[in-house]
Amino acid sequence: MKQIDPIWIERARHGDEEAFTMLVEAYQTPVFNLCYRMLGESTAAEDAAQETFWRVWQKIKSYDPQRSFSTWVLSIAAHYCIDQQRKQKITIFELDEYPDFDLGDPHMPNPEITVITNEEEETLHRMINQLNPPDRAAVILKYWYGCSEEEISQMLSLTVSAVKSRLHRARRQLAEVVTKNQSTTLQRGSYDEALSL
Amino acid sequence: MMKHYPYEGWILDDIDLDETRRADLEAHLALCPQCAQLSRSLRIALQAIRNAPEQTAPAGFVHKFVSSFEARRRLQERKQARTLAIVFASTALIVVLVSLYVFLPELSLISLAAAAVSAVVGLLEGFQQVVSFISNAYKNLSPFTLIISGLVFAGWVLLASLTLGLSVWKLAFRKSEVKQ
Repeated sequence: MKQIDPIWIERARHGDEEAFTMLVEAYQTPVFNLCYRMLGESTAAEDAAQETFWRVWQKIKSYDPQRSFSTWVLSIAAHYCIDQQRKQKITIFELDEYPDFDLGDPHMPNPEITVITNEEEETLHRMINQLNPPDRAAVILKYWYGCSEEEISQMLSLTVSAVKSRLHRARRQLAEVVTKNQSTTLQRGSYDEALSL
Repeated sequence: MMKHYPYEGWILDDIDLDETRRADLEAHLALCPQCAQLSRSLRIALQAIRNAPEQTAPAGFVHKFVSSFEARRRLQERKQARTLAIVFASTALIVVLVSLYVFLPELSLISLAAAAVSAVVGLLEGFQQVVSFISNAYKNLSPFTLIISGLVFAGWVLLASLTLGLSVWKLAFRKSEVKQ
């Protein structure tokens, strides 16, 4: 994540709009990315990111400089996205819609996984969307932003043990999605094979 | 029946195991297809998440934020003003009701309603008397007296209007001077 001179944060805390614009410029991508991963849609993510920065501006006077600014901003974004999803009750995908995953050996470097296409991006969203919003936020913060469980607990206002248990549950769900898809793909394959005979 | 404890937990906790535990887990995975599948599936899922690229903010994101800033601030001020007005109005209402209860303990809603109705009726009666006075004067007074009375009344209205206009103009003029 892009580092910013703390002087800009201090100036923004004192109501300097120009300094705050610098902060928006510096943090626009991490905030947008988090919103995109949470909401799975570009327009909604942009609106959420805009709203996040407005909330940051409103709360910046209460920001504690001892805390990491990026963590604080991301926590506002995560809370906003969780609230949005609770309000909208985003459609839960059916089990049949689970994405296709490569069944190759995960220990071997696989170019098909490394090169992410639009289709893969879509399947990734579907997989992440299986998780409930707070679990999703925990997974995104852990695996995209490399946040520790302590940091996630601060960001999502949860205890460390609650974060651990959410991550544990989320990982189980993610593994189940992949397993389910693998068995569906295998069944489809044998059915196609049977048809061709 | 194969025991999955504690191996399932080790897989799902995604933590670095020491060598003994790792060897223990590897041995279990070689024997237990269920845990092996869980481990493989989780690895695939996490790899897909870790390898996904960061989505960059759309072009013009900052400009959009800056241009919507003033509108958002105005909206917030309006909301605050509305909230403040509601709070003031509610407080005033509560104060009035409490005062009525404290100072006029015998006052009831019915007596309040009756007082309001009688005030309206009194006002209407007064208006009616003024109308009948004017119509009687019109019938009984001579045309000369009527013209003089009309001129006096019109002069009074004109004077009152001029005074009011002058006051408003003075206030507005002084206000703009202060602003400058």
